[in-house]
Amino acid sequence: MDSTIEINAVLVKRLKNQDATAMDYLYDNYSEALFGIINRIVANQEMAEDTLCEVFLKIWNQIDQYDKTKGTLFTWMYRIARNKAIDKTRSKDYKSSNKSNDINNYVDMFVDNSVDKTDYIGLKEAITALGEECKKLIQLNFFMGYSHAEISKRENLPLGSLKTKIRKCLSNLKIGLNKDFGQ
Amino acid sequence: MDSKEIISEGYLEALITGELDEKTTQEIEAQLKVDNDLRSAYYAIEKKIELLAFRYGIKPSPGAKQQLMENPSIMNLHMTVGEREIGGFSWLSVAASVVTVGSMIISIYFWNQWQTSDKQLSLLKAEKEVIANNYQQANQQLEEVKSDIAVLVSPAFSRLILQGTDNSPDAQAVIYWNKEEQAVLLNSASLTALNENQQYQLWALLDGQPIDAGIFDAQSGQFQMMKDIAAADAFAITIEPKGGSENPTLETMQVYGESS
Repeated sequence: MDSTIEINAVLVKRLKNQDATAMDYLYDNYSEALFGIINRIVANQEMAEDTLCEVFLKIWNQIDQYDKTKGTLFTWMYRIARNKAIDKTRSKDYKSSNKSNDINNYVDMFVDNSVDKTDYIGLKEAITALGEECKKLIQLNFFMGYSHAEISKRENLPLGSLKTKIRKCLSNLKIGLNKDFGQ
Repeated sequence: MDSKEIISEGYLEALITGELDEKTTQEIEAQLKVDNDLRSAYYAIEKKIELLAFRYGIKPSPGAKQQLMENPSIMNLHMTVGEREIGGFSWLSVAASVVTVGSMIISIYFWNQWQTSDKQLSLLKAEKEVIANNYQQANQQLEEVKSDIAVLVSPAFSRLILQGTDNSPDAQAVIYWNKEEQAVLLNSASLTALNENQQYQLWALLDGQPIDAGIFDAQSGQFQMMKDIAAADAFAITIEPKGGSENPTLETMQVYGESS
C-alpha cells in the first residue's frame, strides 16, 4: 500500500471543502518542491515568489479539476507551477527585469552540497550514474521549463531522438521508490 | 496510439510536463484509465520527478506563505495561520464572534469537516507508521534468518551437539563452530529459563583446562554469538551466578559434548 496516496486522498478532500488548514499543510509540504521548479524558471526571486503564490491560489481555486485517475496530486501541481512560471517569463515585467535563465547559463543543479536536505538513500549515486547529458536533459526539461523543441534547437538534437533520450534517461535513473516522500 | 508506442516514444514524460497538444493528452489520459500497466509505468516516472523535485527543492522566504494565506479567497470564512496555532478553543471563540447565525453554522460545519478529516489524517499517519515498523521488523527478521541459514549451510561451520548430563537428561544445545575464524554460535533453545540471579556459561575444554566461552540466557529462535574459541576438545555448559564465574561449577553442568 502506498500511504502517500491515502494521505493525499484526505488532503484533496479537505482542499475541495475549501479547508484553509489543508492549504496550510499543502504549503508546508509542497512549497519547497514547487518553488524549486518555479525559481529555476523565473530567476527573479520576488517574481518567483509571486508566481508561487499564484500557483497555490490556482491549486486552491481549481482543486475540483484534479482527477486522480490522470496522475498524482504532485504531477498536477507540478504542471501548474511549470506553466505559470513559463508564463511569467513571457510577461513584460519579467522581460524588463533583465533577469535571464538563458540556456547558456545552465548550471548543474544536481551538484548541491546542502546538508539540511533529507537524504534519499542512493539518490546521489543514481544521479551520478546517469551521466552528464542525461542530467542536463532532465534539468532543462523538467526543472527549467524548456520544451522539447527548445532543447532540440539549442542542443542540436533531432526532436524524435530527444524524446526517446529523455525517456531512457529517466528509466536509467535507478532509485528506490518504495520510500514515501512528500509528507 | 497503443500503450507500447506511448511508452517507447516518450509520451509519458511529455505528459508530466504538459507539453503535449490537447488531442494527444486526451488520448493518452483515456488509455491510462483502461491500461493498468501503462498507469504504473506513468506512476513510476511521476514518482521519480516528484522525488527529484523534493530533493532539489528551494525554500521560499517566509513572507511568501503569509502573502498566500492572507489572500481573501483563502482567509474568507476561515482563520488565519496565526490563529490556528492557538488551538481549538480560541478558534471557537473566533467563530462565536462571527455576527450572523448563517456564517456560524457554516463555520461549525467546516470545523466538523476539518476535525473529521484531521482525525482521518492522523489515523492514516499512525497506520503508515505501524506498517513501516512492521516492514522494518520483518526485514530485520529476514536478515537474521538469512545469516542463520548462511551458517547452517556453510562448510566452514561444524555442528556439535551437546547432550544433557545427569543433571538435566532432556537438555540439549547445539554449537556451530568455525575453527578458522574461531567463531562460536550457540543454539540454546532447549535449555530451561533460570532465575534472575543465575546465568548459563559456556566452557571450552582444552587439555582438561576450562576456557570461558561466554555467559548467556536461554533463548529460542536465533543463534547467540559466543566468545571466539580457537581450539577445544569439548564444550560444556554450567549454571553460574549472574555475570559468570572464572572457573566452572562442575556439579551444575547441564550439557556436554566432545568435538570431533
